[in-house]
Amino acid sequence: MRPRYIDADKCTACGLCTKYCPRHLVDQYNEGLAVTRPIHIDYAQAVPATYYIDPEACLYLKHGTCQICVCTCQSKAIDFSQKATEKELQIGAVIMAPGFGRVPDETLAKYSYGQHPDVMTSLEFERLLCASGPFEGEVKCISDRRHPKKIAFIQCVGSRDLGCNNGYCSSVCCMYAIKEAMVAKEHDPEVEITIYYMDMRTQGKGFDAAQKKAESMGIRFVRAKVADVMPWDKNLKLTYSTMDGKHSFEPFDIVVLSVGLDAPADAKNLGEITGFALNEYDFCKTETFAPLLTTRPGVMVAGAFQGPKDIPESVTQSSAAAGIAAGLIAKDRGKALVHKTYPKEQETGKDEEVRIGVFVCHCGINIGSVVDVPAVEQYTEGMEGVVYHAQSLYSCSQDAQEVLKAKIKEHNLNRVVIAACSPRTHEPLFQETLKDAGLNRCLFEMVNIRDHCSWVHANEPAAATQKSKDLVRMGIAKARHIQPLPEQTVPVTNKALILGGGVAGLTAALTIADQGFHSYVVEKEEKLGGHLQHLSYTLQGETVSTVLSELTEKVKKNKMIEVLTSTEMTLVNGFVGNFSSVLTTTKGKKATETTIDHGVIIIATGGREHRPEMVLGNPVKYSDAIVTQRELEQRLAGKGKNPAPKSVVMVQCAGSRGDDLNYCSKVCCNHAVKNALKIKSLDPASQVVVLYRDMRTYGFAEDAYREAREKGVVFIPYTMDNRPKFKSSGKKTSVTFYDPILRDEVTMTPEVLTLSVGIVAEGTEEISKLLKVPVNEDKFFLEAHVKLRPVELPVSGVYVCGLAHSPKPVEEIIVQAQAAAAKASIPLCKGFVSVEPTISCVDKEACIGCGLCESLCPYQSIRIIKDENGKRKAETITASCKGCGICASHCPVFAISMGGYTDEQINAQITAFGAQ
Amino acid sequence: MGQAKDKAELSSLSAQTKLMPSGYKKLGTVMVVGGGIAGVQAALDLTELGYYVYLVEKSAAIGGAMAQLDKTFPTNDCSL
Ligand SMILES: Cc1cc2nc3c(=O)[nH]c(=O)nc-3n(C[C@H](O)[C@H](O)[C@H](O)COP(=O)(O)OP(=O)(O)OC[C@H]3O[C@@H](n4cnc5c(N)ncnc54)[C@H](O)[C@@H]3O)c2cc1C
Ligand code: SF4
Ligand code: SF4
Repeated sequence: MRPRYIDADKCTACGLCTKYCPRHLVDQYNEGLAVTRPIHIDYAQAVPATYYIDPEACLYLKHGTCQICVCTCQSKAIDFSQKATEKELQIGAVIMAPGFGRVPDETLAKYSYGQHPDVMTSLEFERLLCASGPFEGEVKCISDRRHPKKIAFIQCVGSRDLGCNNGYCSSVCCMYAIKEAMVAKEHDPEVEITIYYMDMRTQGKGFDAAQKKAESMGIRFVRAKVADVMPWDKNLKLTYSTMDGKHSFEPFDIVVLSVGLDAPADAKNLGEITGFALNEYDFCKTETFAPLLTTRPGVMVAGAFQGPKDIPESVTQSSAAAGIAAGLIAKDRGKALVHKTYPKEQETGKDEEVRIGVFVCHCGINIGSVVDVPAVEQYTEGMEGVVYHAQSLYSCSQDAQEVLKAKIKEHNLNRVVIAACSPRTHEPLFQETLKDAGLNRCLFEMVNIRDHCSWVHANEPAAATQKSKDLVRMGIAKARHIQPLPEQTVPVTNKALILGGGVAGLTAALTIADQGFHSYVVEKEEKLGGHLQHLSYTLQGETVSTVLSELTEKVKKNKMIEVLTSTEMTLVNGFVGNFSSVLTTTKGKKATETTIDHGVIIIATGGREHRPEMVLGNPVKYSDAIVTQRELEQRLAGKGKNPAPKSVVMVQCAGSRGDDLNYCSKVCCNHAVKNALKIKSLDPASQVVVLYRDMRTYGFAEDAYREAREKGVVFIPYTMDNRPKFKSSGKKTSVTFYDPILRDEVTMTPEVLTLSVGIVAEGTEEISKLLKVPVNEDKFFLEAHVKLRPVELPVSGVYVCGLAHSPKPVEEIIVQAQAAAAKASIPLCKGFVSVEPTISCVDKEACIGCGLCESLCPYQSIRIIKDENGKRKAETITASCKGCGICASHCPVFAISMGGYTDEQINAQITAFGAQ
Repeated sequence: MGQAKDKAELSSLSAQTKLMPSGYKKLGTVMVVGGGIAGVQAALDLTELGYYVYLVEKSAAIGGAMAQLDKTFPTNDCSL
């Protein structure tokens, strides 16, 4: 463990030391575009919020001089005596998440990177766009600080390039280039932006829409290979060649290199220490059907180290890896956890005297340099209910918590008001201290005099001070009315219901069984296996049927899993932890109903192959000569005499990406390449032509795409303005398309025309109605948060994985299923769900049972029931209420109040605003 | 984040961690190497599932590459 030279318990992250440190240091966090000091913190919100000293740059650690910081630090946190330590840990499982590394500078040199300051990497450009970046978010040329008029992005730098040994596609750079271009355009609508690309790989859920938006904002996309970038006067000259073989050049002010994600620099070392294998590109080696297992048992991998990927997928993989690790050591669950205990809560009755303590914080100089903190503190003297007031330098520091506890005891305080920074970041900390002092955590009110006063009115100290006084007065007025609220928990039935018995559902069931919980797998067909039953082999060469039969065997043998085939869910009641569902099993003409209780639901109902009757404007009749990729695969894997056709034309995006579906189906480019390779291996003489818009063989599948081209498969792009035309006569179908290399129309009559038809959602709307969970415009389930909660749905206790979420390849489906199972296991493990005290509460007397609240609640957390007199009354479902307040604000008779925000409290606050 | 912080030990360990093949004594613990978004999420989920986590990060703060990004697709909200 390397030393920080700063005592983390004492450091308050005030930043004085950085101000006084005399030495400059290039700021790595800002990609070398700014300077900082040897003693610093990378960024204000860093965790841990402790400064550190770079020993290579510090004057004392290098030369034994200086030590200025030691006397500037008011909390005496600087400790030069810290030494590097080694620790030996005993652990049950390991998750490797070391992320990605950088593309080496040599690869960037041909674009004049390092020679001209206005050629920069996308990560540097990202810092330039950021408000905390070197120019506070203004986009300027590094060379002379002028505002750029023309910006170019070059895609696939350090990716899809065997010249630098990175044959794979980095999967994220197309999408982040679009993002950066759009943000730059928002900063300055006048700026002209061109993106030079080979294929736009925006295959993720909703990503194609982003590209369309970028196009509508005037961002130009040019399919071309960039030869080089050269300094040219004040500008940069970019030379590129288009598909028709033409070379052109164009001047730019800034050139952004969309650098790929390399393997981490110390990957080899990590592999050796830990004992797992790497793939040929030094990423972690894994298998299609066990995507997160390294070659060393007990060691899992997640994130960009498993293969280049974006944040939503990294987050999904981490939850999945956590689930697998937890499953491995499930028998030791909870043994190492440290549980915190609190003193008994003191009773605070409604009639008891209100005793408020007010604490006003300087936040170092953050508040104190603008707001007159002593004046604000004095102002509270004598206010009704206030029995104690004080100031503190950092009310969030560890010792300030001790002081707070002591003062609560000493003055017998039963309400606490803290005027400091944002409750979003600090309320939990102070509430924790209140609990430690034996007070209910709701007896707390926070006033934000940093964001609302010292920050926004930094140049008007008098006004900022006056506003602070007003806000504090209002906070105290509210505090007089706040009441303790109970900490509630709801018990959980520790069983899971899994809808769908395809690879997603089966994987999820096994992952949950590994944690030691029971699950029901409900499959509407007679057989388990779903889509995988129709696939024969994978791109990596695995035989699907063996994997699938192993998987179903494992599920059938597992005592924790109950499989119900020919069964559908017909009714569901309840809420997180306490669902009750009716399942209908149909055997022949007989239908039987069973009711089961369960705590969570995982939706893994899959999707189905799209079968458009119209493709790119051509009517289609499926036959032996016009097939889908899946049908072609079955023919190729079959025992027939001539499985490989003599000639094939494959048409990509047949139905997807705006043809009739509005999204990219994500799997069909890989599927086409897989089948093309299979044909070539069966019969190298067979002719295969693939007509595509963008080949989206992202990640390591790029290798297969390259192999296919090497083996003679011909890939020809088409555009939506110039679509391939089909013409059928008898059994034959001819295809006419424009070849940009020949610059002419070409007509072929292949033995088989194969359509890459894509994937559509199936049955999601019915489930959406049953469970009241939303679907998007393409009928796929809509997750709670795309990046942070990718497998959870907005209704608590309901999770989604597989094709029901969006089209994706089997490897990603397995990960998603493991992630959904891990997330679903959290309430099962805990055995209860805890409820935030700030939830809605219905006054049954006042309620007229109109049901408006039930129809408005976005979380299905308030419902109408019949009371003992048979009258309709609203009732909050405490376990799932999120406290948003929509019901309370719409109730026509004011029968609903929100814990912590009652009308009484808010009125008191408003009245206090008017009073001086 | 609060939850993991008090349970997950956060330290700036070097990458020179050796892995011992022996059985482990402290039951119910997991090590996560790398404190980027992937590592942090894994650590959070593991604590929620009832395990003690050692989160090992070689630099001075967790967050990895995501902390450097301005806005992130697909929702284009701020990364921090
Ligand atoms: C310019 C750019 C823009 C991007 N924009 C987006 C976007 O808008 N949206 C999106 O979804 N994705 C985006 N991405 C991708 C995103 O950055 C990654 O998906 C994500 O950061 C991967 O997270 P991770 O945790 O796997 O890796 P990282 O973020 O790289 O984290 C790995 C962590 O592990 C630490 N570490 C490494 N080795 C060791 C070791 N041996 N011991 C201890 N610790 C170690 C590192 O210090 C680091 O903190 C972008 C990428 C780039 C390059
Ligand atoms: S095609 Fe792949 S490597 Fe190239 S820029 Fe797009 S995502 Fe990156
Ligand atoms: S063929 Fe499929 S995967 Fe390829 S771009 Fe079109 S929709 Fe996406």
